[in-house]
Amino acid sequence: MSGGVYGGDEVGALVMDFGSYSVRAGYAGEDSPKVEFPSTIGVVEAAEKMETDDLSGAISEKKYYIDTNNIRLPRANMEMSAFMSECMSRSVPAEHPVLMSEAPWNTKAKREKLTELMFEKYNIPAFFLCKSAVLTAFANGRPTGLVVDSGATYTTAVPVYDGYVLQQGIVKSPLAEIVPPYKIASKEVVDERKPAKWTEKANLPSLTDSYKKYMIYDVLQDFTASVLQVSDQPYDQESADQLPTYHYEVPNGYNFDIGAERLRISEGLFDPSTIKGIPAGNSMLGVSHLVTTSVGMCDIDIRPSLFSSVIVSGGNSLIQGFTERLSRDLTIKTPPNMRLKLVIPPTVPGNTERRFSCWIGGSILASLGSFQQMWISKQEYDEHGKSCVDKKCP
Amino acid sequence: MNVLQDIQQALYQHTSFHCSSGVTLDNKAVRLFQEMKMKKLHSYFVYHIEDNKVVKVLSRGFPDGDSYYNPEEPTKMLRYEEMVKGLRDANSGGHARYAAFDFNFLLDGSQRRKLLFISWVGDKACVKDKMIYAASKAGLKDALGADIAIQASDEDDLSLSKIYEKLEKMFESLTKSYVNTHDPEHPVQERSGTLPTV
Repeated sequence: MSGGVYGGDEVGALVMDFGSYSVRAGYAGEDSPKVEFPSTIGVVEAAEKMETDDLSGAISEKKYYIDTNNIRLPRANMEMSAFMSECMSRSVPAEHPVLMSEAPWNTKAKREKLTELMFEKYNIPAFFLCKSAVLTAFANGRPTGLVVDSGATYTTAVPVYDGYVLQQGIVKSPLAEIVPPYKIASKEVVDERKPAKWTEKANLPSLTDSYKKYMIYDVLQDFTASVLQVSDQPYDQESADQLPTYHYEVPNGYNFDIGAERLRISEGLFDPSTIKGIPAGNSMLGVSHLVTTSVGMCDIDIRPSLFSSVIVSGGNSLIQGFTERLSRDLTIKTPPNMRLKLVIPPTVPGNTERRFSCWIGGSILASLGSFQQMWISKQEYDEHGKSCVDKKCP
Repeated sequence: MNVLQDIQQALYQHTSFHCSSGVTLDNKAVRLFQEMKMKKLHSYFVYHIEDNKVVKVLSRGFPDGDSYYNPEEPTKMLRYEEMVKGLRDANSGGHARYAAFDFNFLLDGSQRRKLLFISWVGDKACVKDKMIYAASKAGLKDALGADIAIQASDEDDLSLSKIYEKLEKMFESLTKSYVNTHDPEHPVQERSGTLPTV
Protein backbone atom coordinates (compact mmCIF):
# COMPACT_ATOMS: atom_id res chain seq x y z
CA MET A 1 0.00 0.00 0.00
CA SER A 2 1.60 3.22 -1.05
CA GLY A 3 0.72 5.28 1.98
CA GLY A 4 -3.04 5.24 1.49
CA VAL A 5 -4.87 6.04 4.71
CA TYR A 6 -7.87 3.93 3.86
CA GLY A 7 -5.96 0.69 3.79
CA GLY A 8 -7.50 -2.17 1.89
CA ASP A 9 -6.08 -4.81 -0.36
CA GLU A 10 -3.59 -4.10 -3.07
CA VAL A 11 -5.25 -4.56 -6.41
CA GLY A 12 -3.69 -1.75 -8.39
CA ALA A 13 -7.02 -0.73 -9.83
CA LEU A 14 -7.35 2.61 -11.56
CA VAL A 15 -10.20 4.84 -10.48
CA MET A 16 -11.42 7.57 -12.79
CA ASP A 17 -14.03 10.20 -12.23
CA PHE A 18 -14.94 12.29 -15.25
CA GLY A 19 -16.44 15.72 -14.94
CA SER A 20 -17.02 18.24 -17.65
CA TYR A 21 -14.39 20.51 -16.15
CA SER A 22 -11.80 18.16 -14.80
CA VAL A 23 -10.88 14.50 -14.68
CA ARG A 24 -9.85 12.89 -11.42
CA ALA A 25 -7.75 9.76 -11.69
CA GLY A 26 -5.64 7.68 -9.37
CA TYR A 27 -5.09 4.29 -7.78
CA ALA A 28 -7.69 2.55 -5.65
CA GLY A 29 -7.01 2.66 -1.91
CA GLU A 30 -5.39 6.07 -1.89
CA ASP A 31 -6.99 8.99 -0.13
CA SER A 32 -6.98 11.45 -2.98
CA PRO A 33 -6.58 11.30 -6.76
CA LYS A 34 -3.04 11.09 -8.14
CA VAL A 35 -3.88 13.61 -10.81
CA GLU A 36 -6.60 16.09 -11.47
CA PHE A 37 -6.43 17.65 -14.89
CA PRO A 38 -8.79 19.61 -17.12
CA SER A 39 -11.14 17.53 -19.23
CA THR A 40 -10.16 19.64 -22.16
CA ILE A 41 -6.87 18.81 -23.78
CA GLY A 42 -4.80 20.42 -26.44
CA VAL A 43 -4.36 18.63 -29.74
CA VAL A 44 -1.79 19.56 -32.31
CA GLU A 45 -1.77 17.94 -35.70
CA ALA A 46 1.89 17.15 -35.76
CA ALA A 47 3.71 17.56 -39.01
CA GLU A 48 7.01 16.20 -37.84
CA LYS A 49 7.80 12.85 -36.27
CA MET A 50 6.69 12.16 -32.74
CA GLU A 51 9.28 12.45 -30.04
CA THR A 52 10.80 9.23 -28.85
CA ASP A 53 9.63 9.37 -25.27
CA ASP A 54 6.08 8.92 -26.45
CA LEU A 55 4.85 5.49 -25.55
CA SER A 56 3.02 4.33 -28.60
CA GLY A 57 5.15 5.98 -31.25
CA ALA A 58 4.12 6.23 -34.81
CA ILE A 59 0.46 5.22 -34.68
CA SER A 60 -0.87 8.68 -34.03
CA GLU A 61 -0.26 11.80 -36.04
CA LYS A 62 -1.78 13.98 -33.37
CA LYS A 63 0.08 15.35 -30.43
CA TYR A 64 -1.76 15.68 -27.18
CA TYR A 65 -1.14 18.13 -24.40
CA ILE A 66 -2.65 17.04 -21.14
CA ASP A 67 -2.51 18.74 -17.77
CA THR A 68 -2.79 22.34 -16.76
CA ASN A 69 0.74 23.51 -17.43
CA ASN A 70 0.84 22.08 -20.91
CA ILE A 71 -2.37 23.78 -21.88
CA ARG A 72 -1.49 27.22 -20.61
CA LEU A 73 1.49 27.44 -22.91
CA PRO A 74 0.25 28.81 -26.21
CA ARG A 75 1.08 26.63 -29.17
CA ALA A 76 0.44 27.08 -32.83
CA ASN A 77 -2.70 25.47 -34.22
CA MET A 78 -3.70 23.89 -30.95
CA GLU A 79 -7.37 22.96 -30.87
CA MET A 80 -9.12 22.43 -27.55
CA SER A 81 -11.20 19.31 -27.45
CA ALA A 82 -12.92 17.09 -24.99
CA PHE A 83 -10.69 14.53 -23.36
CA MET A 84 -13.13 11.66 -23.65
CA SER A 85 -13.87 12.07 -27.32
CA GLU A 86 -10.35 12.73 -28.51
CA CYS A 87 -8.29 10.22 -26.66
CA MET A 88 -8.74 8.12 -23.62
CA SER A 89 -5.67 8.41 -21.49
CA ARG A 90 -3.16 6.43 -23.45
CA SER A 91 -1.38 5.41 -20.35
CA VAL A 92 -4.09 2.96 -19.27
CA PRO A 93 -1.91 -0.08 -18.97
CA ALA A 94 -3.28 -3.49 -19.76
CA GLU A 95 -2.59 -4.81 -16.26
CA HIS A 96 -4.89 -2.55 -14.22
CA PRO A 97 -8.59 -3.07 -13.61
CA VAL A 98 -10.50 0.17 -14.17
CA LEU A 99 -13.39 1.59 -12.16
CA MET A 100 -15.10 4.55 -13.72
CA SER A 101 -17.80 6.89 -12.64
CA GLU A 102 -20.60 7.79 -15.02
CA ALA A 103 -23.41 10.29 -15.12
CA PRO A 104 -26.60 8.86 -13.59
CA TRP A 105 -28.54 9.59 -16.78
CA ASN A 106 -26.05 7.75 -18.99
CA THR A 107 -27.79 5.75 -21.71
CA LYS A 108 -27.51 2.03 -22.18
CA ALA A 109 -25.92 2.42 -25.59
CA LYS A 110 -23.17 4.67 -24.25
CA ARG A 111 -22.38 2.38 -21.35
CA GLU A 112 -22.04 -0.58 -23.68
CA LYS A 113 -19.88 1.40 -26.06
CA LEU A 114 -17.60 2.42 -23.21
CA THR A 115 -17.33 -1.16 -22.00
CA GLU A 116 -16.51 -2.32 -25.49
CA LEU A 117 -13.89 0.39 -25.88
CA MET A 118 -12.21 -0.45 -22.59
CA PHE A 119 -11.95 -4.16 -23.29
CA GLU A 120 -11.28 -4.10 -27.02
CA LYS A 121 -9.05 -1.09 -27.39
CA TYR A 122 -7.30 -0.86 -24.05
CA ASN A 123 -7.38 -4.53 -23.27
CA ILE A 124 -7.95 -4.08 -19.55
CA PRO A 125 -8.36 -7.16 -17.33
CA ALA A 126 -11.50 -5.99 -15.50
CA PHE A 127 -13.93 -3.11 -15.56
CA PHE A 128 -16.64 -1.57 -13.43
CA LEU A 129 -18.96 1.36 -13.96
CA CYS A 130 -20.56 3.11 -11.06
CA LYS A 131 -22.96 6.01 -11.03
CA SER A 132 -21.30 9.11 -9.64
CA ALA A 133 -24.28 10.03 -7.46
CA VAL A 134 -24.21 6.59 -5.82
CA LEU A 135 -20.50 6.88 -5.07
CA THR A 136 -21.01 10.33 -3.58
CA ALA A 137 -23.89 9.10 -1.42
CA PHE A 138 -21.89 6.08 -0.23
CA ALA A 139 -18.83 8.15 0.55
CA ASN A 140 -21.03 10.22 2.84
CA GLY A 141 -22.30 7.08 4.56
CA ARG A 142 -25.78 7.15 3.13
CA PRO A 143 -27.28 4.46 0.91
CA THR A 144 -30.43 6.59 0.65
CA GLY A 145 -30.40 10.29 -0.02
CA LEU A 146 -30.69 13.07 -2.54
CA VAL A 147 -27.43 14.09 -4.17
CA VAL A 148 -27.27 17.72 -5.23
CA ASP A 149 -24.32 18.25 -7.52
CA SER A 150 -23.60 21.72 -8.76
CA GLY A 151 -20.73 21.51 -11.21
CA ALA A 152 -19.20 23.19 -14.21
CA THR A 153 -21.99 22.73 -16.75
CA TYR A 154 -24.96 21.27 -14.91
CA THR A 155 -26.67 21.38 -11.59
CA THR A 156 -28.43 18.13 -10.84
CA ALA A 157 -30.52 16.53 -8.14
CA VAL A 158 -30.39 12.75 -8.13
CA PRO A 159 -32.37 10.59 -5.70
CA VAL A 160 -30.54 7.46 -4.57
CA TYR A 161 -32.42 4.70 -2.77
CA ASP A 162 -30.53 1.81 -1.18
CA GLY A 163 -27.68 2.35 -3.58
CA TYR A 164 -29.82 2.52 -6.70
CA VAL A 165 -30.52 5.67 -8.67
CA LEU A 166 -34.21 6.37 -9.12
CA GLN A 167 -34.16 7.32 -12.78
CA GLN A 168 -37.53 9.02 -12.83
CA GLY A 169 -36.49 11.49 -10.16
CA ILE A 170 -33.38 12.92 -11.81
CA VAL A 171 -33.66 16.64 -12.44
CA LYS A 172 -31.03 18.49 -14.41
CA SER A 173 -30.69 22.16 -14.97
CA PRO A 174 -28.19 23.66 -17.41
CA LEU A 175 -27.33 26.15 -14.75
CA ALA A 176 -23.86 26.38 -13.39
CA GLU A 177 -21.06 28.77 -12.86
CA ILE A 178 -20.38 29.01 -16.56
CA VAL A 179 -23.51 31.13 -17.07
CA PRO A 180 -22.88 33.93 -14.60
CA PRO A 181 -19.22 34.51 -15.47
CA TYR A 182 -20.00 34.98 -19.13
CA LYS A 183 -22.19 37.84 -18.22
CA ILE A 184 -19.31 39.52 -16.48
CA ALA A 185 -17.13 39.02 -19.50
CA SER A 186 -19.18 41.46 -21.47
CA LYS A 187 -19.34 43.81 -18.54
CA GLU A 188 -15.59 44.13 -18.35
CA VAL A 189 -15.53 45.30 -21.91
CA VAL A 190 -18.43 47.74 -21.57
CA ASP A 191 -17.52 49.36 -18.30
CA GLU A 192 -13.91 50.09 -18.96
CA ARG A 193 -13.28 52.12 -15.90
CA LYS A 194 -9.71 52.44 -16.94
CA PRO A 195 -8.51 51.14 -20.25
CA ALA A 196 -5.94 48.44 -19.84
CA LYS A 197 -2.44 49.09 -21.03
CA TRP A 198 -0.82 46.11 -22.49
CA THR A 199 1.10 45.09 -25.52
CA GLU A 200 0.81 41.89 -27.41
CA LYS A 201 3.66 39.46 -27.28
CA ALA A 202 5.58 39.83 -30.49
CA ASN A 203 6.25 36.26 -31.36
CA LEU A 204 2.91 34.73 -30.39
CA PRO A 205 2.08 31.72 -32.55
CA SER A 206 -1.24 31.72 -34.36
CA LEU A 207 -3.94 30.57 -31.98
CA THR A 208 -7.19 28.77 -32.67
CA ASP A 209 -10.58 30.03 -31.57
CA SER A 210 -11.24 27.12 -29.27
CA TYR A 211 -7.98 27.87 -27.49
CA LYS A 212 -8.88 31.49 -26.93
CA LYS A 213 -12.30 30.50 -25.67
CA TYR A 214 -10.75 28.09 -23.22
CA MET A 215 -8.38 30.71 -21.88
CA ILE A 216 -11.21 33.19 -21.38
CA TYR A 217 -13.12 30.56 -19.49
CA ASP A 218 -10.04 29.95 -17.43
CA VAL A 219 -9.90 33.58 -16.28
CA LEU A 220 -13.59 33.50 -15.44
CA GLN A 221 -13.05 30.36 -13.42
CA ASP A 222 -10.50 32.14 -11.29
CA PHE A 223 -12.85 35.09 -10.94
CA THR A 224 -15.63 32.83 -9.69
CA ALA A 225 -13.43 31.15 -7.15
CA SER A 226 -11.99 34.31 -5.68
CA VAL A 227 -14.79 36.83 -5.78
CA LEU A 228 -18.27 35.35 -5.82
CA GLN A 229 -20.40 34.97 -2.77
CA VAL A 230 -23.93 33.70 -2.31
CA SER A 231 -26.26 35.93 -0.38
CA ASP A 232 -27.97 34.24 2.52
CA GLN A 233 -31.36 35.50 1.47
CA PRO A 234 -33.03 36.42 -1.80
CA TYR A 235 -31.15 39.19 -3.54
CA ASP A 236 -32.01 42.70 -2.60
CA GLN A 237 -30.14 45.73 -3.85
CA GLU A 238 -29.94 47.61 -0.61
CA SER A 239 -28.24 45.02 1.52
CA ALA A 240 -26.03 44.00 -1.38
CA ASP A 241 -24.71 47.53 -1.66
CA GLN A 242 -23.40 47.28 1.85
CA LEU A 243 -21.18 44.35 1.02
CA PRO A 244 -17.50 45.23 1.10
CA THR A 245 -16.10 45.61 -2.37
CA TYR A 246 -13.50 43.29 -3.71
CA HIS A 247 -10.64 44.28 -5.93
CA TYR A 248 -10.03 42.07 -8.91
CA GLU A 249 -7.46 42.33 -11.64
CA VAL A 250 -7.74 40.64 -14.99
CA PRO A 251 -4.43 39.37 -16.41
CA ASN A 252 -4.07 42.19 -18.91
CA GLY A 253 -3.92 44.74 -16.13
CA TYR A 254 -7.49 45.92 -16.30
CA ASN A 255 -8.83 46.11 -12.77
CA PHE A 256 -11.99 47.10 -11.02
CA ASP A 257 -13.79 47.01 -7.70
CA ILE A 258 -16.77 44.78 -7.44
CA GLY A 259 -19.41 44.95 -4.73
CA ALA A 260 -23.06 44.17 -5.21
CA GLU A 261 -22.31 42.16 -8.34
CA ARG A 262 -20.59 39.58 -6.20
CA LEU A 263 -24.00 38.59 -4.94
CA ARG A 264 -26.01 39.29 -8.05
CA ILE A 265 -24.05 36.96 -10.26
CA SER A 266 -24.33 33.92 -8.04
CA GLU A 267 -27.96 34.72 -7.28
CA GLY A 268 -28.65 33.23 -10.70
CA LEU A 269 -27.96 29.79 -9.26
CA PHE A 270 -30.91 30.10 -6.92
CA ASP A 271 -33.18 32.31 -8.95
CA PRO A 272 -32.55 31.98 -12.70
CA SER A 273 -34.92 34.85 -13.47
CA THR A 274 -32.22 37.29 -12.36
CA ILE A 275 -29.93 36.28 -15.20
CA LYS A 276 -30.18 38.68 -18.10
CA GLY A 277 -30.28 37.69 -21.72
CA ILE A 278 -31.87 34.31 -21.28
CA PRO A 279 -35.06 33.66 -23.22
CA ALA A 280 -38.21 32.89 -21.30
CA GLY A 281 -39.44 29.32 -21.17
CA ASN A 282 -36.03 27.77 -20.61
CA SER A 283 -35.51 24.68 -18.51
CA MET A 284 -33.54 26.38 -15.77
CA LEU A 285 -34.47 25.75 -12.19
CA GLY A 286 -32.96 27.26 -9.09
CA VAL A 287 -31.03 24.83 -6.88
CA SER A 288 -33.65 24.61 -4.14
CA HIS A 289 -36.44 24.26 -6.69
CA LEU A 290 -34.44 21.46 -8.25
CA VAL A 291 -34.39 19.58 -4.96
CA THR A 292 -38.11 19.85 -4.33
CA THR A 293 -38.96 18.87 -7.91
CA SER A 294 -36.77 15.83 -7.72
CA VAL A 295 -38.19 14.70 -4.40
CA GLY A 296 -41.71 15.32 -5.68
CA MET A 297 -41.12 12.91 -8.52
CA CYS A 298 -40.36 10.03 -6.18
CA ASP A 299 -42.71 7.75 -4.32
CA ILE A 300 -44.35 9.44 -1.36
CA ASP A 301 -43.06 6.82 1.08
CA ILE A 302 -39.43 7.62 0.51
CA ARG A 303 -39.71 11.41 0.42
CA PRO A 304 -38.98 11.84 4.14
CA SER A 305 -35.79 9.81 3.87
CA LEU A 306 -34.66 11.87 0.89
CA PHE A 307 -35.28 15.15 2.67
CA SER A 308 -33.44 13.91 5.70
CA SER A 309 -30.24 13.40 3.74
CA VAL A 310 -29.65 15.96 1.06
CA ILE A 311 -26.01 15.54 0.09
CA VAL A 312 -24.29 18.58 -1.34
CA SER A 313 -21.36 18.20 -3.72
CA GLY A 314 -19.74 19.81 -6.75
CA GLY A 315 -17.51 22.82 -7.28
CA ASN A 316 -20.23 25.46 -7.02
CA SER A 317 -21.03 24.41 -3.48
CA LEU A 318 -17.65 25.82 -2.51
CA ILE A 319 -18.74 29.36 -3.36
CA GLN A 320 -18.92 31.29 -0.11
CA GLY A 321 -22.41 31.13 1.39
CA PHE A 322 -23.78 28.49 -1.00
CA THR A 323 -24.71 25.91 1.61
CA GLU A 324 -26.19 28.45 4.02
CA ARG A 325 -28.46 29.80 1.32
CA LEU A 326 -29.50 26.33 0.16
CA SER A 327 -30.40 25.27 3.66
CA ARG A 328 -32.41 28.44 4.20
CA ASP A 329 -34.35 28.09 0.93
CA LEU A 330 -35.03 24.41 1.54
CA THR A 331 -36.24 24.95 5.08
CA ILE A 332 -39.01 27.10 3.68
CA LYS A 333 -39.92 24.58 1.00
CA THR A 334 -39.77 21.39 3.06
CA PRO A 335 -43.19 20.09 4.10
CA PRO A 336 -43.70 20.69 7.84
CA ASN A 337 -44.05 17.00 8.67
CA MET A 338 -40.67 16.14 7.20
CA ARG A 339 -37.26 16.73 8.67
CA LEU A 340 -34.64 18.41 6.56
CA LYS A 341 -31.01 17.60 6.93
CA LEU A 342 -28.21 18.79 4.69
CA VAL A 343 -25.17 16.59 4.53
CA ILE A 344 -22.17 18.72 3.80
CA PRO A 345 -18.78 17.06 3.59
CA PRO A 346 -16.14 19.05 5.45
CA THR A 347 -14.22 21.56 3.37
CA VAL A 348 -11.06 21.76 5.41
CA PRO A 349 -8.27 20.98 4.87
CA GLY A 350 -7.79 21.61 1.22
CA ASN A 351 -11.40 20.96 0.22
CA THR A 352 -10.54 17.47 -0.88
CA GLU A 353 -13.50 15.65 0.54
CA ARG A 354 -16.19 17.65 -1.18
CA ARG A 355 -14.37 18.05 -4.44
CA PHE A 356 -13.34 14.45 -4.63
CA SER A 357 -16.06 12.68 -2.67
CA CYS A 358 -17.10 10.72 -5.73
CA TRP A 359 -13.54 9.68 -6.50
CA ILE A 360 -12.82 8.75 -2.88
CA GLY A 361 -15.93 6.56 -2.89
CA GLY A 362 -14.70 4.76 -5.98
CA SER A 363 -11.23 4.42 -4.53
CA ILE A 364 -12.45 2.69 -1.38
CA LEU A 365 -14.90 0.47 -3.21
CA ALA A 366 -12.35 -0.75 -5.74
CA SER A 367 -9.80 -1.51 -3.04
CA LEU A 368 -12.07 -3.76 -0.97
CA GLY A 369 -11.14 -7.41 -1.00
CA SER A 370 -14.79 -8.37 -1.19
CA PHE A 371 -15.34 -6.16 -4.21
CA GLN A 372 -13.05 -8.24 -6.38
CA GLN A 373 -15.88 -10.62 -7.28
CA MET A 374 -17.94 -7.72 -8.57
CA TRP A 375 -15.69 -6.69 -11.45
CA ILE A 376 -16.61 -7.52 -15.01
CA SER A 377 -13.64 -9.63 -15.95
CA LYS A 378 -12.20 -9.94 -19.40
CA GLN A 379 -13.39 -13.55 -19.46
CA GLU A 380 -16.97 -12.54 -18.68
CA TYR A 381 -16.84 -9.92 -21.36
CA ASP A 382 -15.64 -12.45 -23.89
CA GLU A 383 -18.45 -14.82 -22.97
CA HIS A 384 -21.40 -12.46 -22.67
CA GLY A 385 -20.41 -9.48 -24.77
CA LYS A 386 -20.88 -5.86 -23.95
CA SER A 387 -24.41 -6.25 -22.58
CA CYS A 388 -23.01 -7.72 -19.35
CA VAL A 389 -22.39 -4.17 -18.13
CA ASP A 390 -26.10 -3.73 -17.48
CA LYS A 391 -26.25 -6.87 -15.42
CA LYS A 392 -23.14 -6.35 -13.36
CA CYS A 393 -23.28 -2.60 -12.83
CA PRO A 394 -26.78 -1.46 -11.93
CA MET B 1 -40.65 -27.71 15.58
CA ASN B 2 -37.12 -28.91 14.88
CA VAL B 3 -37.97 -29.84 11.32
CA LEU B 4 -39.44 -26.46 10.74
CA GLN B 5 -36.32 -24.81 12.06
CA ASP B 6 -34.09 -26.94 9.91
CA ILE B 7 -36.03 -25.99 6.83
CA GLN B 8 -35.90 -22.37 7.77
CA GLN B 9 -32.21 -22.51 8.40
CA ALA B 10 -31.55 -24.25 5.14
CA LEU B 11 -33.65 -21.65 3.41
CA TYR B 12 -31.74 -18.77 4.90
CA GLN B 13 -28.39 -20.28 4.18
CA HIS B 14 -29.24 -20.24 0.52
CA THR B 15 -30.64 -16.76 0.46
CA SER B 16 -28.20 -15.13 -1.87
CA PHE B 17 -27.33 -11.82 -0.34
CA HIS B 18 -26.20 -9.29 -2.89
CA CYS B 19 -24.86 -5.82 -2.45
CA SER B 20 -22.64 -3.55 -4.46
CA SER B 21 -19.57 -4.06 -2.30
CA GLY B 22 -19.52 -7.86 -2.36
CA VAL B 23 -19.61 -8.12 1.45
CA THR B 24 -21.34 -11.29 2.69
CA LEU B 25 -23.48 -12.13 5.70
CA ASP B 26 -22.32 -14.57 8.33
CA ASN B 27 -24.57 -17.63 8.73
CA LYS B 28 -24.33 -17.44 12.49
CA ALA B 29 -25.69 -13.90 12.40
CA VAL B 30 -28.72 -15.14 10.47
CA ARG B 31 -29.29 -17.96 12.95
CA LEU B 32 -29.06 -15.66 15.96
CA PHE B 33 -31.49 -13.27 14.33
CA GLN B 34 -33.92 -16.14 13.86
CA GLU B 35 -33.61 -16.94 17.56
CA MET B 36 -34.58 -13.38 18.34
CA LYS B 37 -37.48 -13.48 15.93
CA MET B 38 -38.91 -16.87 16.86
CA LYS B 39 -37.93 -17.43 20.47
CA LYS B 40 -37.15 -13.95 21.76
CA LEU B 41 -33.82 -15.14 23.08
CA HIS B 42 -32.13 -11.80 22.43
CA SER B 43 -33.19 -8.19 22.50
CA TYR B 44 -30.65 -6.61 20.18
CA PHE B 45 -27.55 -7.20 18.08
CA VAL B 46 -24.73 -4.92 17.05
CA TYR B 47 -22.98 -6.00 13.85
CA HIS B 48 -19.69 -5.05 12.32
CA ILE B 49 -18.03 -5.88 9.03
CA GLU B 50 -15.06 -8.08 9.81
CA ASP B 51 -11.96 -7.60 7.63
CA ASN B 52 -14.10 -5.72 5.12
CA LYS B 53 -15.63 -9.05 4.11
CA VAL B 54 -18.26 -10.50 6.40
CA VAL B 55 -21.05 -8.99 8.47
CA LYS B 56 -20.75 -10.55 11.94
CA VAL B 57 -22.40 -10.14 15.31
CA LEU B 58 -20.22 -7.99 17.58
CA SER B 59 -22.40 -7.91 20.69
CA ARG B 60 -25.91 -8.91 21.72
CA GLY B 61 -28.37 -8.11 24.46
CA PHE B 62 -30.25 -10.36 26.86
CA PRO B 63 -34.01 -10.67 26.39
CA ASP B 64 -35.96 -7.71 27.61
CA GLY B 65 -38.85 -9.48 29.28
CA ASP B 66 -42.23 -7.97 28.57
CA SER B 67 -41.30 -4.30 28.50
CA TYR B 68 -42.63 -2.25 25.65
CA TYR B 69 -42.55 1.34 24.45
CA ASN B 70 -45.54 3.47 25.31
CA PRO B 71 -45.57 6.94 23.74
CA GLU B 72 -47.96 8.23 26.42
CA GLU B 73 -45.55 7.59 29.24
CA PRO B 74 -42.12 7.10 27.67
CA THR B 75 -39.96 5.07 29.95
CA LYS B 76 -36.35 4.31 29.24
CA MET B 77 -35.86 1.02 27.51
CA LEU B 78 -32.74 -0.31 29.16
CA ARG B 79 -31.70 -2.70 26.42
CA TYR B 80 -32.12 -0.06 23.79
CA GLU B 81 -30.03 2.41 25.79
CA GLU B 82 -27.37 -0.25 26.09
CA MET B 83 -27.34 -0.73 22.33
CA VAL B 84 -27.24 3.00 21.62
CA LYS B 85 -24.30 3.31 23.97
CA GLY B 86 -22.46 0.70 21.91
CA LEU B 87 -23.20 2.62 18.74
CA ARG B 88 -22.14 5.89 20.28
CA ASP B 89 -18.83 4.40 21.40
CA ALA B 90 -18.23 3.02 17.92
CA ASN B 91 -18.82 6.47 16.47
CA SER B 92 -16.33 8.12 18.78
CA GLY B 93 -13.84 5.48 17.73
CA GLY B 94 -14.43 6.43 14.08
CA HIS B 95 -16.46 3.38 13.16
CA ALA B 96 -19.84 2.70 11.62
CA ARG B 97 -22.07 -0.21 12.70
CA TYR B 98 -25.25 -2.07 11.92
CA ALA B 99 -27.72 -3.02 14.60
CA ALA B 100 -30.94 -4.97 14.98
CA PHE B 101 -33.51 -4.38 17.68
CA ASP B 102 -36.65 -6.20 18.77
CA PHE B 103 -39.03 -3.29 19.17
CA ASN B 104 -42.26 -3.79 21.13
CA PHE B 105 -44.57 -0.83 21.28
CA LEU B 106 -48.11 0.31 21.86
CA LEU B 107 -50.01 1.68 18.87
CA ASP B 108 -53.72 2.43 18.71
CA GLY B 109 -54.13 0.69 22.04
CA SER B 110 -52.70 -2.62 21.02
CA GLN B 111 -49.24 -4.00 21.54
CA ARG B 112 -47.21 -4.54 18.39
CA ARG B 113 -43.79 -5.83 17.53
CA LYS B 114 -41.39 -4.91 14.76
CA LEU B 115 -37.82 -6.00 14.17
CA LEU B 116 -35.72 -3.00 13.30
CA PHE B 117 -32.59 -3.03 11.20
CA ILE B 118 -30.50 0.06 11.84
CA SER B 119 -27.54 1.20 9.80
CA TRP B 120 -25.55 3.54 11.93
CA VAL B 121 -23.07 5.84 10.22
CA GLY B 122 -22.25 8.72 12.53
CA ASP B 123 -20.49 11.93 11.65
CA LYS B 124 -17.25 10.80 13.21
CA ALA B 125 -17.03 7.59 11.20
CA CYS B 126 -14.04 7.54 8.88
CA VAL B 127 -14.64 7.79 5.15
CA LYS B 128 -13.74 4.18 4.62
CA ASP B 129 -16.34 2.97 7.10
CA LYS B 130 -18.92 5.33 5.66
CA MET B 131 -18.31 3.94 2.21
CA ILE B 132 -18.29 0.25 3.04
CA TYR B 133 -21.24 0.30 5.46
CA ALA B 134 -23.34 2.35 3.06
CA ALA B 135 -22.45 0.20 0.07
CA SER B 136 -23.20 -3.06 1.89
CA LYS B 137 -26.49 -2.10 3.45
CA ALA B 138 -28.80 -2.81 0.54
CA GLY B 139 -30.49 -6.16 0.99
CA LEU B 140 -29.12 -6.82 4.47
CA LYS B 141 -32.47 -6.16 6.08
CA ASP B 142 -34.20 -8.74 3.92
CA ALA B 143 -31.37 -11.25 4.21
CA LEU B 144 -31.72 -11.14 7.99
CA GLY B 145 -35.48 -11.05 7.93
CA ALA B 146 -36.04 -7.73 9.70
CA ASP B 147 -39.20 -5.70 9.12
CA ILE B 148 -38.02 -2.13 8.91
CA ALA B 149 -34.76 -0.52 7.87
CA ILE B 150 -33.66 2.67 9.55
CA GLN B 151 -30.87 4.91 8.32
CA ALA B 152 -29.36 6.72 11.27
CA SER B 153 -26.60 9.29 11.20
CA ASP B 154 -27.01 11.14 14.48
CA GLU B 155 -28.43 10.65 17.99
CA ASP B 156 -31.65 12.22 16.89
CA ASP B 157 -32.25 9.51 14.29
CA LEU B 158 -31.72 6.89 17.00
CA SER B 159 -34.18 8.26 19.54
CA LEU B 160 -37.09 5.89 20.10
CA SER B 161 -39.64 8.68 19.84
CA LYS B 162 -38.41 9.50 16.32
CA ILE B 163 -38.50 5.85 15.32
CA TYR B 164 -41.96 5.49 16.81
CA GLU B 165 -43.15 8.49 14.79
CA LYS B 166 -41.84 6.85 11.65
CA LEU B 167 -43.67 3.61 12.39
CA GLU B 168 -46.84 5.51 13.14
CA LYS B 169 -46.64 7.20 9.74
CA MET B 170 -46.01 3.90 8.02
CA PHE B 171 -49.07 2.33 9.56
CA GLU B 172 -51.06 5.41 8.66
CA SER B 173 -49.99 5.48 5.01
CA LEU B 174 -50.55 1.75 4.77
CA THR B 175 -54.19 2.08 5.74
CA LYS B 176 -54.53 5.13 3.49
CA SER B 177 -53.04 3.45 0.45
CA TYR B 178 -55.98 1.06 0.28
CA VAL B 179 -58.26 4.01 -0.20
CA ASN B 180 -56.13 6.20 -2.44
CA THR B 181 -56.12 5.68 -6.15
CA HIS B 182 -52.69 6.46 -7.41
CA ASP B 183 -51.76 8.81 -10.16
CA PRO B 184 -51.36 6.64 -13.28
CA GLU B 185 -48.44 8.74 -14.49
CA HIS B 186 -46.40 7.93 -11.42
CA PRO B 187 -46.76 4.24 -10.84
CA VAL B 188 -46.12 3.18 -7.29
CA GLN B 189 -42.76 1.56 -6.76
CA GLU B 190 -42.22 -1.26 -4.45
CA ARG B 191 -42.89 0.02 -0.97
CA SER B 192 -39.93 0.76 1.19
CA GLY B 193 -41.45 -0.60 4.35
CA THR B 194 -44.22 -3.00 3.53
CA LEU B 195 -45.73 -4.05 6.80
CA PRO B 196 -47.24 -7.43 7.24
CA THR B 197 -50.23 -7.22 9.57
CA VAL B 198 -49.19 -8.03 13.06
